[in-house]
Amino acid sequence: MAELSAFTKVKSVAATHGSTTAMPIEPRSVVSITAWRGAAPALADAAQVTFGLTLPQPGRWIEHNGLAAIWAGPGHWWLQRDGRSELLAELAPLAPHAGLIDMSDARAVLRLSGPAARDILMGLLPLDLHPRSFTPGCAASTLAAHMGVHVRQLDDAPTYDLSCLRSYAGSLWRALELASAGPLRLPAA
Amino acid sequence: MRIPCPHCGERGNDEFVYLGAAALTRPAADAPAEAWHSYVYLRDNPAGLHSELWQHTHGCRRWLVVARDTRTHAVFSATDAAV
Amino acid sequence: MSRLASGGLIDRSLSHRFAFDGRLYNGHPGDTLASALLANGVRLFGRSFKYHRPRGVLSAGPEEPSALVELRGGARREPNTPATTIELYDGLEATSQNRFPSLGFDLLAVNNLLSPLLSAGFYYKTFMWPASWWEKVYEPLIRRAAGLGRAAGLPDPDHYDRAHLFCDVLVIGAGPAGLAAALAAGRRGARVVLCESDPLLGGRLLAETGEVDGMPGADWAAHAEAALRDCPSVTILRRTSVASVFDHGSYVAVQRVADHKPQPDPHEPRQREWRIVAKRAVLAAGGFERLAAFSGNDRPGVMLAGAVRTYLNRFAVAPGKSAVVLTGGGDGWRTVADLTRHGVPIAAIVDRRREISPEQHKLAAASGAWLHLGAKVTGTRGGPALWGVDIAGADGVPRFVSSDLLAVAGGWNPAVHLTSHLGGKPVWNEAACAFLPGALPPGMAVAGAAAGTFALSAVLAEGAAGGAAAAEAAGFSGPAPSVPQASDAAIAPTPIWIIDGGKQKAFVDLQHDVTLKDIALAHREGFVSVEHLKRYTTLGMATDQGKTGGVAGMAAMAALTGRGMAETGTTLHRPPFTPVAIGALAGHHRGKDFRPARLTPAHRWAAEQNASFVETGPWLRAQWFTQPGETDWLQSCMREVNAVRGSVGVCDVSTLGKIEIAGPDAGALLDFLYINTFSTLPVGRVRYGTMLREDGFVFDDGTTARLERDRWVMTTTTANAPRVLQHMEFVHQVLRPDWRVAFISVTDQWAQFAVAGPRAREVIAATLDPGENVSDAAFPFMACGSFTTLGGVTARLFRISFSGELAYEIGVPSAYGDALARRIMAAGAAFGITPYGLEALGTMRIEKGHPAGGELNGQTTAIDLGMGRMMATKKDFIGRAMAQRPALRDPQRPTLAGIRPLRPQDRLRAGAHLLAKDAPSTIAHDAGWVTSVAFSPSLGHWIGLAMLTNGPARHGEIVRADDPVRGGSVLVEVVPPCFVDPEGARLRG
Repeated sequence: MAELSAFTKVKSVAATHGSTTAMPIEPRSVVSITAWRGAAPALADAAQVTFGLTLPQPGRWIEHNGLAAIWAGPGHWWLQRDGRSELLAELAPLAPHAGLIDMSDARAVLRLSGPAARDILMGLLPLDLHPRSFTPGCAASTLAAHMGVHVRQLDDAPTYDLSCLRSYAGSLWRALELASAGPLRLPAA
Repeated sequence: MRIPCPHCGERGNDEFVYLGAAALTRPAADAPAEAWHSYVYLRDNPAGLHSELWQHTHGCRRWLVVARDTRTHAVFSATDAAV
Repeated sequence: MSRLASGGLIDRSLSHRFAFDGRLYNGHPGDTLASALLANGVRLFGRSFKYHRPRGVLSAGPEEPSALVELRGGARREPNTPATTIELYDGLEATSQNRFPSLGFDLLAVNNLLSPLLSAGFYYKTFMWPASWWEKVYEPLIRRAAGLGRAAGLPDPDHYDRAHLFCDVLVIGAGPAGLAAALAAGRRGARVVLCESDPLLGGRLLAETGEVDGMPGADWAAHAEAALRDCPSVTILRRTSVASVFDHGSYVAVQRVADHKPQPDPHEPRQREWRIVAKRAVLAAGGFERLAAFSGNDRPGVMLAGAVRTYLNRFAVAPGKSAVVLTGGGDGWRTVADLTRHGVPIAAIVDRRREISPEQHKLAAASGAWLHLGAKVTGTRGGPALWGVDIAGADGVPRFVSSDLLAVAGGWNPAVHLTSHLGGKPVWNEAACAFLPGALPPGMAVAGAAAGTFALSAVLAEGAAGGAAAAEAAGFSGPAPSVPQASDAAIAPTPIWIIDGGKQKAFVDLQHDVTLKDIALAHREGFVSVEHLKRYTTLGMATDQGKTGGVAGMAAMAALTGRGMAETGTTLHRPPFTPVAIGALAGHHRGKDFRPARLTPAHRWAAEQNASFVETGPWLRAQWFTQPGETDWLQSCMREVNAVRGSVGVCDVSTLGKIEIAGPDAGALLDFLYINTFSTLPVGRVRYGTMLREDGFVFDDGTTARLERDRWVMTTTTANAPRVLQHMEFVHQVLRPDWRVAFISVTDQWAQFAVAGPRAREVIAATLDPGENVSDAAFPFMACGSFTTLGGVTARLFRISFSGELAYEIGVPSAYGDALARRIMAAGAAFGITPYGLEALGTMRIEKGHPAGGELNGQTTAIDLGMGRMMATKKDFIGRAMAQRPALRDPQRPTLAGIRPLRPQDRLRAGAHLLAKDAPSTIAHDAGWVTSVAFSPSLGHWIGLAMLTNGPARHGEIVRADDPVRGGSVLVEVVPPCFVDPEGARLRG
């Protein structure tokens, strides 16, 4: 049966701004993992042994064999993979150390990539995205345009994945549209 | 105001939700009514150092204890309430 | 024409055509509206706020109190814009303001003759009597006569942007100090943001003749700018004013992105609000020249001496044909020198001192001016333009000099405003004769004129040192910065505050028309504190915030009280530094973008079904689904209720809060959160629960299902969902951190639908994949379980009912929500399945007596809501102790009851108060209130829920529902709060 994009209200589901592009990333499989108090080291060991995955430090994300681990808070990570899969069942070996909850459909993700991406996000996120502060491998949650938004940087293009609650997908797209309508032309110093 | 979240780093205060005084201990279930009354209703209102509960709602969602000067807004420390 | 033949930072090769009050003029790129009008010989710019006196240009910058105009027209009309800050563009249109019918002939100048009535505090005194005249006579008159420009009155067609910047060092102002600071910090590799309100960098360097590093100041500024461009970590924001300082290194700046164009380019914002977070800041905002208070000091042609130099040197404009220079010391002599150099005749030099230096004597001789030492100006003559100045010599002999320009060098005020935004009080410094920054905002340093340093060489050194120190503090060390060199002697500050003598008004606030007389009146009436003085006279409360005249007003009060300037002090400066358009603060959040909206996964489907949506918090929810022929919502709602009660309906309940809870201590957490026990709930079952706040009042309610041994899903009300999650996080993290439990909001993970009505089971069976068994035996009331639908998609099924009918809630991952809605509709087609909205949902819950918004208002207890027996006695839970308080167990408290009108045709209204049948309508007899009402299609009349004193004991009693606000008093019968199927046979069917 057909899935419906979170961005269904959006006129076009991909947009370009010069050579900068925005497009939804869906579907995905996402599991929220929260270690019991004191069990984070055991969880990290289990993730390492079972999946070869090193759970990232605060403010970071990593990927191994297509499985990304994104820091979400102390002892709390999102594990995710593109496409639909039985990720929750697959992660069962981690269950003795943590609470696992399926979040595959809970958030909408946009991938913003290209030379203007950072300037556009400067209009949206109250975060320091300067290459001295925020690099590929960094991840953060914040409040943007009255919505909780998570951002992680993928590469130096730069490419960012931007996510919000699924129900806010249309509003996030709109906020991005507004933030990029007037391209930020920082005077070349 | 900016609050130095011990997990996420310094962030603007609109990412946080304020609760109130942090230096309170929930009384035992059979504690006398006075203890409960004090816990639920009585608050100091210091001009100066104040220990407060803030949640980093739009960040790591952790409840923090923030030590702040109510006169200057200077923040001295922010620690996880559970640690 | 007053344009000088050569010089200036204007592009003479291009011409801009512009209109002021409908007359066409020409100017050049680089001009401001003020400089271009002065170049065209225009002297009269507007009429004053209160007295409608003619006013010209006083200054050359954002401090301008007088030359305010309406810029542009139509929806883009922008009132009260200082002509001194408007960059000239081709096709610019501006009009003067506060004049009727025209600038030259202003009927309301009669106010000038009425001025005895319009003195300080006239608002509070003159129009007190008769009181009835205020609204009809005085206020309209004052509104007509007073005031500044007119707002456009149309929606702003442009958009405003917001962006965030983080830096190591924020440099505020790009004059000599700011440029030196930015260079010193930028060369160390620090991330520097340099904000300059002007389109050009350089500040006073563009207006003065001094040299830096052997080149003219303006050239050095251009070199410095080029050097800054070579620093990759430096960002220059021109046309950007730092408006406000906030805690912990937060600043707000407003960039006028497109204000120098007729209209913004496509997609270009007019302005952008920068939210800047800086580890350190260097305030290099310079200073503002003061207006001295003397008789007739508001005549067009009276100009600050430094502004005269700006017009001569930067804009190549002679602001007059024959000048008088009034000074108290050396600064005015710079103006003498520049006027002479540019060939502008000086009729007289009035120096308040009796002795001057030999160089100044030489300058006087070279200018050919009549030199008056120890003299003063006692008045000005002219109408819409100055034509002469009255001077009293040292000998007291009055003299008259013909002149159309009076340059006043009253001294300079350091621009300390931003240092005050966090409460720092400026401190009087006797040596500098100025208020200097007091306690600074943490992380901020001050350099140059803003710190009271005026000699150029010292300004440059202070800027370089400040920039280096700021970079150092932000972690960027390096060698000592090279300091640009300038040779200029420090000029001793010799302020002129007040010149007595003369019979004309002496203004201390040109924009609000406050005079020395008003200060004296305030003193006589006891308003001697500067903060009282300000509010009583409105001194410094206009759009210019008293940047030129304010300190003279303080000085006047100091003279009257004899307390001195230090003790008198100055008013606190508050944000913003200069006016900020509300649009710039709103940014994109206007109209339909005012705030984001949450849409359910099946929103498109609901829209196709002709749903009317209503905002509930951020959510858009279907209220009802209008069918052809239906003309009002009640018709739609009744049809939907009847369909559910008669056959089957479907409702999108995805907005209800859903929190998934995992872990071995989940049961313990639920027992602690809810008044009733959950840990004993078997897997596959659902239980209704109520939560209290710690003060014992009801917080929220909903059902929680046990899906697996260690996996539960809780539902909350839509409105409380975020707060319930925060509450649970508090309880877990702060009160019970050792419990092995994890939970997260899954509201957006699951699209959920209620299927309700006698045919619900058949519809659910047809919705699920073949082979699933939902018979009453296999899946009884309050069961939950996992099934598949849509060909293998996991579905969570709950047999719960809000409507009182046989009902299910079915949830699928959100991406399948739209498909599930369509599947349910197809499955129910044979039974005429009807989508129903919030109104029908609300009607049915009132028919069933389920408490919701009106009853869960934060003031009701579990006992009040008839759920007292749910409270477990053998466990601790949030709110347990406080719920035991005797007053909360008092049976006289208002308690949930149902009401129905005695006459079936009577309408009930929520909010009505309940009174004993014959009791008078007074608060003493108040016995409760109506919380929710609905027209019940099932019963054919209105029904209501109410909180009624001792409600349960009064079933059968007739009381009065009194609604004095909307009129009407209805007799109602108190009944049990469940109107339909009180035995619950239907939902168990």
